[in-house]
Amino acid sequence: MKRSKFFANWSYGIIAVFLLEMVILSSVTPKFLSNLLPMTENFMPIGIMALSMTLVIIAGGIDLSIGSVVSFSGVIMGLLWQHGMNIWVAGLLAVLIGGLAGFINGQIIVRTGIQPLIATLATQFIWGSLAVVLSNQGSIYGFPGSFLLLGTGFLYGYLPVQLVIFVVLALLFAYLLNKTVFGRQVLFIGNSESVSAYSGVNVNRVKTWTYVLSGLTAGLSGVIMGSFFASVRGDMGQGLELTVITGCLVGGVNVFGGAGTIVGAAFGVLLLGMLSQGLNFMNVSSQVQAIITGVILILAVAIQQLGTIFARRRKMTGGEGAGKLRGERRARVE
Amino acid sequence: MKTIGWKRMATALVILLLIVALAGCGAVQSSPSANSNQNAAQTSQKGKTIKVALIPKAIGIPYFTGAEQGAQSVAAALNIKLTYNGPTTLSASDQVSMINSYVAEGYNVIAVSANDPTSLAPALKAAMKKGVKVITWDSDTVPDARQFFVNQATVDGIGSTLVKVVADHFKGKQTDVAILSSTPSNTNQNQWIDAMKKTIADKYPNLHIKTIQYDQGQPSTGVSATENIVKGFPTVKAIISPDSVGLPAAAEAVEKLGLQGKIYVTGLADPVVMKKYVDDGTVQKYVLWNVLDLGKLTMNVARAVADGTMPTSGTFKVKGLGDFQVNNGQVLLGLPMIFDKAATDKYNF
Repeated sequence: MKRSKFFANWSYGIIAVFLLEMVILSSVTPKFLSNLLPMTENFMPIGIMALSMTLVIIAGGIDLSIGSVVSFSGVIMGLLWQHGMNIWVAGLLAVLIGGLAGFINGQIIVRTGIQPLIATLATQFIWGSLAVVLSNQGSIYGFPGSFLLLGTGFLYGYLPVQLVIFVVLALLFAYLLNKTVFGRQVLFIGNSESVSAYSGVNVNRVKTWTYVLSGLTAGLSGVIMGSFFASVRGDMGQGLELTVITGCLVGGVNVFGGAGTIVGAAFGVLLLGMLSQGLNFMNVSSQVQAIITGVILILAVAIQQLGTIFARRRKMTGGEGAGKLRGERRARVE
Repeated sequence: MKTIGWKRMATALVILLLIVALAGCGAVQSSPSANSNQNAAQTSQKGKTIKVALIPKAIGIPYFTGAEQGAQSVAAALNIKLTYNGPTTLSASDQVSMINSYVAEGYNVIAVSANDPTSLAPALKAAMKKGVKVITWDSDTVPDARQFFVNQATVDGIGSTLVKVVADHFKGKQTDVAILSSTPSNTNQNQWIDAMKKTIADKYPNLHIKTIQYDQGQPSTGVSATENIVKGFPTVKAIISPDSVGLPAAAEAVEKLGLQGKIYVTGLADPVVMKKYVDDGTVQKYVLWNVLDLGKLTMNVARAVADGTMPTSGTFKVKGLGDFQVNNGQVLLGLPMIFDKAATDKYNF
């Protein structure tokens, strides 16, 4: 249990770093604070997908196909709308198609035993290319104004709709991971798949569901991005998966599975997203921004590694203050 | 342990959708009510320093760096505080994110080369609503998302200049020509090829287009496509590639096959890429608009738009740069330039 406790603490750490970042950025660039909420619209789909990616990674998997699923479901929505369907119905279908794409990922992985990395890399190619072909290499646009409010609207004049959706989903996913049997099974599988299987957990079903959720959020992100950009393109989701995974890892989700929190992943995305917005304000070039992101990723994961090793050593030496008590190593039943 | 919480979650998702739908009925507005931008009320910035964001399709590309050099060279004289930044890949969504930041930060003018004509529209329209002036350059958006488009070259200008280079070289001799384009569905390429065909039909009946091949945006494909042209159409004496990937690839292939001087290669590309082939004599002349001037003109338009002195149609006079035609919000840079060895050595983009 020590390991997951450390990762729970990590999420407090990441919130603290996030708040520190807010203070620094607001003091350096005066207009930053007054534009804080509207700026989140630029990266909320990343956050939404990071929630389900957290479950996928905790269960020992990875989903590289989400960027392509974003494009694919977005294009499907656009095409259905072009053929006369109501945009909201088309959007709902697009979300479900995302879920179907996730289901296919899950089934490939649990039925054939293909590594998630390879299976979802393959479906990334498939959905991504289909999206480009279906959209005829152009964009579909002209959606009705009421639909555009999903991605660009403000609730009560100050709360971005996208942010509201993200917060509600984050609460749902946190509940799902921490308070439901499904969530505990996800963690269990990530810690030891064989032990979970012997304990009667339907491993295949739980794993498939993590991919279905991942597909659903990718589909939803496709719809939201279609609304935000007032158009859909076959390449609109390209590369998003890596940004999502980066957010999760910075947020303390263990890439080997078994540990991670929704709060951590959510603030991991907020931390990186706000940093990028702030650096734009400070006229830092995109290349330098990418370098900074790389450094943060390495630092975050390195600190997590060291923290885990330290926690383990402390446990071995028997408690508080590792060095002090080394001599009187007590036997402890845990 | 046997049930999983998905039923509960499905219910929750439905509730969420309902919340969003309900919210959509009443409380949702299209822009934040607290508007923090002070520029909105001011119509003219005459005599004041203005902040201009010059956003290319992507940074780190010689073509766009050339435009930046041009823009920087005139910014100070125009009293412009210039920021040049763009995405690292050809991403429309990264451009939107940048546009939003620049608007929030209080820039006066946004000048963008759009990665997509429609995806940028909502962000640019929102910017204009807040009083920010929006111009596009190099690559346009839908017309209602910007005030002016600085058009580097017209379709006819490019098509006719490319054909002229070949026609001038062969001086009335019967000549078979091949075209190396990028992809069959590329709108720009197809428009230019149509313009080339039209110029040939109107003015140069001695030129005959024998084949159109494609490089698919890949240098290696361009090299093998050129080899196919040479082997499959032995009468072809000139290759025109209106594509900056295709032209160096065609030159590379001609060089590899030892056909320098036997096959005339020309097209559209940047001087830095073409220097090698111009220096060794494979290519003598090629075509591109003056990218430095494109950057300079864009800055002048930015200044004039901020001052409120930019005409939507007519002539736009720029001291030291020339007179430019403006048609319905499109500012024309004029005919593209023909680059020879001297010009290639002179320009660095």
